[in-house]
Amino acid sequence: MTAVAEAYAGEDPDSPLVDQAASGDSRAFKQLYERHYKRVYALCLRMTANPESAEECTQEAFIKAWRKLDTFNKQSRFSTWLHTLASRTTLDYLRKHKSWLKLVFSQEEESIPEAHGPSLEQDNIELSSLDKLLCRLPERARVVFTLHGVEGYRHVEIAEMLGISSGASRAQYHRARNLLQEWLDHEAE
Amino acid sequence: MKQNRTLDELLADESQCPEEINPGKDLWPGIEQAINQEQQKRTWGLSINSKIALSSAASVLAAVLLIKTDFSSNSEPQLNDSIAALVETYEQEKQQMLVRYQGQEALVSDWQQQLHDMEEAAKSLRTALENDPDNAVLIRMLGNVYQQQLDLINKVHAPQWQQI
Repeated sequence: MTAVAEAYAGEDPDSPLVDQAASGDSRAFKQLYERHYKRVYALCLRMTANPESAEECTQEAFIKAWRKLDTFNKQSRFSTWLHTLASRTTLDYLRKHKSWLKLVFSQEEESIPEAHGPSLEQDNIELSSLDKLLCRLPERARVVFTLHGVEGYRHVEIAEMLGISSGASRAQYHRARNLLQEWLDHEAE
Repeated sequence: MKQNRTLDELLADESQCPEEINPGKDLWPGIEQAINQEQQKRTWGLSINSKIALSSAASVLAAVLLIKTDFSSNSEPQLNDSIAALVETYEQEKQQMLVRYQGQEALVSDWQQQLHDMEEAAKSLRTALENDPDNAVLIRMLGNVYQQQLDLINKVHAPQWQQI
C-alpha cells in the first residue's frame, strides 16, 4: 500500500523492462504501463476526485515517465519512482486549476461538503463507499489524506510537495479523518 | 479511538480501499501517440541538425565560389531567368506554407532559427549563382536548400498527437 515507505528490498521485478524502455523500446514501456496503470489511476482519482482529470493525470504521468526514464537511478523501485512522479504530476495539474489557486491563496476555510454529493457512477467507475466519501472531501484534506493515509507518504514529504508546513499537513489529515468518520457514522445510522 | 479504528479497518480492507482502480477507458492510445511523437521529434532533431550541417557546407562552398568569381568578373551579376523562376517558385511556396501554419504550435521551438540558417545558405548560393549562373552544382544545391526549408516547415507543423 505504501509507495514511498516501501523499502527497496532485492531485485526490482520491473528492472529488465525499465532497461529496455530506457533504450527506446516502447513495447517494453507498454508492459510497464500494463503493470502499473491501475494503481497510478487510483492515486490520481483519489487526488483529483474526478475521473476525467484522473485520466489526464495518469496519461501525463506515464508520458513524463517515458521522457525521464533515463534519469531513473534505481535507488528505489520503479513503482515507487512512478508513484512519486504521478503524485507530483497530479499536484501540478491541480495547481493549474482554479480550485487549487483558491486553495493556495485563500485564507478562508473551505466549506464542508455534504456526504451525499454528486455521484461518480455516471462515469462508469466502480468506487467503494469509502472512496466515494474520500472523493467528497475538500481538496486540501483529500490530497493530504490520499498521500498519507492511502499512499503512505510522511507528512514532511507531503509538506515539501505542497509547499506547506508539516503541521498543516497533519491538521488536514486529521480534518479528513474526522469528516470521513462523521460521514461513516451518519451512513450507519 | 473507536472512531479511528473503524476508519482504519476500512482503509485496511482491500475492497474498500483497493490499490487498483480501472479507468473507464483505454488510456494507452493517447500515451502511445505522445511517445511516438517524442521519438519523431528526437529523430527530427538529428535529421534537422544534419540538414543544417549540409546547408552550412553549402554556404561555405558558395562563399568560396563567390570569392573566386569576384576576382574573375567585373560585370554586374544577375540571376539568369530560369534560376530566378526557380527561386520565385520556392519562395512563393514557402510563404504560402508559413501563412497556412501561422498560429499553429510547432513541434520544435527553434525551427525559425533553423529556417533562418537555411535561408542564409540559400542567399549565399544565390549570390554565387549571380556570378556563375551556369554552375550546375550550385543550382542543385540551391534547389536542395529550398526543399529542406519546405520540409522543415511541413514537418515541424505535423498534426499534434491527440488531446489527452
